[in-house]
Amino acid sequence: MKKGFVSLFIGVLFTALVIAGCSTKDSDAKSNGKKELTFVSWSSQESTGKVIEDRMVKSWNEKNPNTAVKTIGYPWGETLQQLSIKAQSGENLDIAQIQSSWFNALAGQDVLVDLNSVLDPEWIKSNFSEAALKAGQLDGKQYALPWTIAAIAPLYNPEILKEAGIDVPPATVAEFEKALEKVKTKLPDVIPYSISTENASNVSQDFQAWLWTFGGNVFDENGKVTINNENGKKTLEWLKRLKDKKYIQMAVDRASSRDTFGLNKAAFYDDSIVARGFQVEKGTPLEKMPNHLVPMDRPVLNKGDTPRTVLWGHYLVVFKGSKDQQKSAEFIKHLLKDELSIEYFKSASVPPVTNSAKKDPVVSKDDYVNKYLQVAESATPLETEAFTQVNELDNIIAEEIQAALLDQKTPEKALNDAADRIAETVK
Amino acid sequence: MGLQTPRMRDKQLNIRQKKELTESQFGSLLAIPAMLIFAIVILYPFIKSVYYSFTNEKLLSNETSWVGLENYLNNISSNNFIDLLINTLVFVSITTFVPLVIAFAWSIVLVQGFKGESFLRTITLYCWVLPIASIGLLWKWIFDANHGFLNELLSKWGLISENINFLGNTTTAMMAVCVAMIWHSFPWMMAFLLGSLNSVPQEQIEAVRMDGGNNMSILRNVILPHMKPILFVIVILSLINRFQHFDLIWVMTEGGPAHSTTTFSIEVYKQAFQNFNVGQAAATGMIWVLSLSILIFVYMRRLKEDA
Repeated sequence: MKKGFVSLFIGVLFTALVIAGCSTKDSDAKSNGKKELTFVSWSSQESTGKVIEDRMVKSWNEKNPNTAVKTIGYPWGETLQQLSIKAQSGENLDIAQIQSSWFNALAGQDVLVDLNSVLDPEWIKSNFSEAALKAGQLDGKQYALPWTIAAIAPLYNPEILKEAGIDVPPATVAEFEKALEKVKTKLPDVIPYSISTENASNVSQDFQAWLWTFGGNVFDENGKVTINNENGKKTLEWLKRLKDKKYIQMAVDRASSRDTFGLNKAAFYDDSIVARGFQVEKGTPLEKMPNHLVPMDRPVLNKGDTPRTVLWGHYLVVFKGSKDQQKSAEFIKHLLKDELSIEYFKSASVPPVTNSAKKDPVVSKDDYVNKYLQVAESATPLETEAFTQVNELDNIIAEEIQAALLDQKTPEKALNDAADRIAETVK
Repeated sequence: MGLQTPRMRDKQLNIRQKKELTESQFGSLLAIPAMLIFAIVILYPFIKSVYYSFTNEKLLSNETSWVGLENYLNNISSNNFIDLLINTLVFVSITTFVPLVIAFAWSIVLVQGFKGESFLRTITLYCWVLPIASIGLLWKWIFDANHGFLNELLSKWGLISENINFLGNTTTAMMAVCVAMIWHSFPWMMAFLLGSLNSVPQEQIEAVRMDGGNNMSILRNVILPHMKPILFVIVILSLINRFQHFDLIWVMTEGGPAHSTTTFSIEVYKQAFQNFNVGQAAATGMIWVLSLSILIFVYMRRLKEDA
């Protein structure tokens, strides 16, 4: 029996030594004065964003071997979740790319660094437009710097429109519906309008843009939920009509819309400015893009109305738990250098944000980008973005819209249920 | 140093025996490290989840307060709860019993020992060893409304005049997910059933045949009684697994459209990692655990009976 005890003791001791011996790279790095910073970026993993790893991160690491950056790429749909979990569990996060709609959710957790405290406030002020900086501010603090800003605009395929007998892109909702009818009649294999109906975040984006077009809002100026008012009902009834006439389809998300559009099987769809990069990757050469993918103003309800569009952008943030807040902020400054921003633009069609890079002829003479930037001038952030529960609100909106489109509820009932659930969530 | 009497020797032996551990005590001691790991890895998160289910814990907030049964009541009174329950039961029962029947029939075919049987068996097992996310994407493409293989096939055969949006319809989405799950899971069942079928006593089959019995009576009187224990294990393990299943549904439909494929596992994921509402998710998880406990109880009881 004593022998058994000795074996047990040796076993436990061995296990303890093995566990103790598994020191992390981090502690090794600390011992030789090196720190490895992490940069969470979903774009770096996309085919159009290879330049991030190959040029941006590489050039930083060559100059800063003691604070090298390692890129971590979660899928876009999981990035906010991963950042929130890691930040709340106290895991060391350094730098991250975030979508503008996630800003409040992250800043509200008090996990971000005020970049005015680690970068020269004058540099920040002189390099970006006031509007671009405002979207990264909370309580007067600059928690995020813009990386690229544009809008989510409707796009059309000029060749398909021509085949369907449509000479100019529709300017009003009535013209748009007529155009969809023509596409459906003349090209039955083509999806007239590939609006998002699957992924909650995309459904909410596309729906809110149309809701504003019909004069509706999710909330009024006092914060009261108004998604179910008359204009809201008109919007959903209109979408339901499009679905019943088979102009739009269920089970469509942004990625599948890009695929369908790439195959010349969709006439219209909504996307951010990155759309062109994806079409190039799917085989349409850049020079043929004016015949394949063109951004347009969202059709308005009545002539003379201002086209409504969702503001879209990517921001850069530094976390309070960073191993080196100063160096992390400097890495952000490095990413925003003009020559790197222009390279990123050439690869992914994402327009640079610094005042100097915007003037570069490669950017300023690009019609596609100019149209997006013109559309973005009147763009507004999603109403759900103002809340830390943005995901939950988008889920509610998406579920209720799907229920109405699939005849599970009337549009009125779906919007009333959405209003009750939204009010309960934000109370 | 006096001489020891036999009585003194017995007394000393008793003392030594008392100092030494009994076999069961020693066994318990050996189990302590495993119990500690169990406590850290399973028990602690479980207790923490029970605690969270009574709080308003949120991933996006540092403040937590006790809310009693509010999360449970909110869940049960929610409009979606009945749908959630029905979806889970439909998914669990279809993807347990349908593949069981297919696996049983296919094992009977394979047990005949014809030429090429081992090739067919290997091919069948591929459906099981493929990563579940790949299977989800494969079936998502098969059921796609515009470029899907199934629509193409049905159209070529003249069975449909217009493509069917399998994943975009509340009635067909669940069926599509179930078909993919059945395809993935029946080989696992087949592997078990095949082993059991191979051990069916041939003399009993011969005896039934000599008594004039046909294939049905062989199945009823020899094969099924022989396979009852393994069928029971397969059904229980499969039910538990399906209750927990997440990946395939998430890849194919994300629980939609309009909640029509949302099961308990999808709902817990959405509540915890999309809505960041940990307290609510924990309460849903506890309701889910209670439902699963019934199955686990039946399984453990059966194991005890067998022992």
